[in-house]
Amino acid sequence: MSELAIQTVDLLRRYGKYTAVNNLNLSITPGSIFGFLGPNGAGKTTTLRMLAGLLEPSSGQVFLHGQLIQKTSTAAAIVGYMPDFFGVYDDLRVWEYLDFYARCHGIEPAKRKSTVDGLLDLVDLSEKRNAFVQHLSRGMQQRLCLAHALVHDPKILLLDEPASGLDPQARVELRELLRTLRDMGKTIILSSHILNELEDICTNFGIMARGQLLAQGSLETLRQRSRPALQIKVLDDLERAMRLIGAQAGVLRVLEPAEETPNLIEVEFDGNEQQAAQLLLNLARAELPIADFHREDDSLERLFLQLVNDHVTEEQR
Amino acid sequence: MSNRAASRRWRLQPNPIVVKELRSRMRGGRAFMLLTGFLLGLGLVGYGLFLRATTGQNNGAPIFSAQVGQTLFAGLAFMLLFLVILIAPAVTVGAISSERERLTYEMLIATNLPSHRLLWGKLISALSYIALLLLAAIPLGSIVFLFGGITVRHVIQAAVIIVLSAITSAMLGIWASAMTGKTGRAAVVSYVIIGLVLGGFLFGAEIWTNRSTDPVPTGLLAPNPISALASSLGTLSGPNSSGMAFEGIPRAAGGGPGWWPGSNPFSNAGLDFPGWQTFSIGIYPVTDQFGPDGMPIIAEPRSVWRITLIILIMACLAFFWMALHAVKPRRRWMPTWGDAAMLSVTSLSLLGLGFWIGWWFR
Repeated sequence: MSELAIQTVDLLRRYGKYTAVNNLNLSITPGSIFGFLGPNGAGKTTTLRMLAGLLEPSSGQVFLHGQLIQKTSTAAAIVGYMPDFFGVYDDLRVWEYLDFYARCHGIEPAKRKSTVDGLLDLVDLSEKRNAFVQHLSRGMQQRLCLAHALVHDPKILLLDEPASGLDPQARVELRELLRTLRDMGKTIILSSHILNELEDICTNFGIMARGQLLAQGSLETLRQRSRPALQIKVLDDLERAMRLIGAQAGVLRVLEPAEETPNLIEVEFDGNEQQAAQLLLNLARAELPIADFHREDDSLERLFLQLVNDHVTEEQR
Repeated sequence: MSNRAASRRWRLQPNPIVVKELRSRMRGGRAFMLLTGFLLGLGLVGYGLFLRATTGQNNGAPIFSAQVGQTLFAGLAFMLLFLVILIAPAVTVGAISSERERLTYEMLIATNLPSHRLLWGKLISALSYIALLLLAAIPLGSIVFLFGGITVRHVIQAAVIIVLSAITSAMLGIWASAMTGKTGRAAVVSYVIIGLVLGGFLFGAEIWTNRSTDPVPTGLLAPNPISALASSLGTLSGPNSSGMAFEGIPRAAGGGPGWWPGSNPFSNAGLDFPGWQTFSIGIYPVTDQFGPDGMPIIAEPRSVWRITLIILIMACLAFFWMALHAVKPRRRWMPTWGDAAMLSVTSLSLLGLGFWIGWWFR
């Protein structure tokens, strides 16, 4: 087995008849920040829990740095896990909270204090050292929880929705912290719904829907799978406009406008600029009221939506 | 750091759960308020027992100091037994379930801490608080030594029964907490089981005595810590107005096995506190012989407490074993070599102990 940080082989998890994760094959290189994307119920949390050794796969295997994970303790030594929903112990001070997890990981007494101090410094909570954890703000608790996952200096960090519930300032701070951790050589898996933030910090991505991995790779790799598109805003006579657009050269598919944007027609288009200009000219000649006409960008969000929608459409067939 | 190296390292360190629980539990006023209430309650009960034991004196009847000591000791021992049996699950029913409820469980089991250390930590931290209650009760309990009438053997027997009942009760709470995953549900399960064990078996013994002249079967007495404590205290002093046997002091006063209440100088008083007759039901087997005063001779109280200790130890181990598997994140109910080893060592030890001392047959 090559030295990948994380590798899953046909990983499958069923809850009764429901398949939460379906033959997942992940390959994540050491030192990368892997953005795990997917709508609610896609199987991201189930996957992360299996990677952390907290959940038994129904079948398939998990390898962390080449080591087959069969026990929670094997994973615990390699992985730092931050769940999506977490609580804190009341009546414990911030340093005691980290000290507790350091003890749980068997860190020697001589090393414990410096570990706790170092982590408080890293997550910028040194000033709150003696505060009670229940009195910290949500953002601070989030950082403390991240610190707890780092207490035994794991090679891999599994962060389930670490930015949920954070205000914009706290998100920026978290992003900086993740960059620092990447520089420290950690491999990080990050699940999130905030796609544009993942785009900034992740080196690789995996997109999941309904338990299946739809795509994985760098943003560039994923962009190659993206189909170019046009967005055309027509103020009136939508039916005629869609018929006309569908008959033009370079148009692959005309999508029905979404309910929230009833005048916006999305067009899958692989034509060149000449063909795009001709399309606009023909719409103008037909005296259709065009308010907007532009090529869509290659954002992660669009790619994500495209892949997920394709998957859903395919399943419905 | 390998798992084995980590295990070696923290094996020499205090249990993290105990450190955390002690740090957080003793903060705030709740623990101290419970301790104060506990001691006040115990003190009031002690004072009530003292008044009750000395009421005869107001009517001109002679009261032996030892009699007061015995009544106080037995009354306080029962009170302590009830309190620890009721308080122990209250401390432990949230041991595992509250971790799940406040969403800290996954973070905890994702560490290198093995399941058995997690459970030990929870048990020891709960018991340390109960031990604090018991230690705090010692000055109050030691008042009985001023009156006399009790032996060190009785103190040790009562202490062993109370402490083992507390451990079992705490373990029951942890088991319910691990199995149900909800603190409320765990509390209901624990207290229903405690109610059935304490009340159910006494009720069964009561029905038996009403319907049969045969001695109450050991199976109805031994599982109940109340009957166990009564069987131990029964040898301390005996007869009250309803006529029950005596061993310790009556022997010193010229009595012996096969005693009859009429010749007992304490017979008009003895252990006299509310509930004693109920608690000691089935403990004194009535013989078909009669003493010179025409009263039936009552045999020595049955030593069911020995079997009770074995039952409590086995119950503790069973609860621990089930809780140990229930807290595992993976392969919960798959038997391990550790299970097999524990089962073998426990069975052999108990069998050996039982046969060697002859406890099974007494």
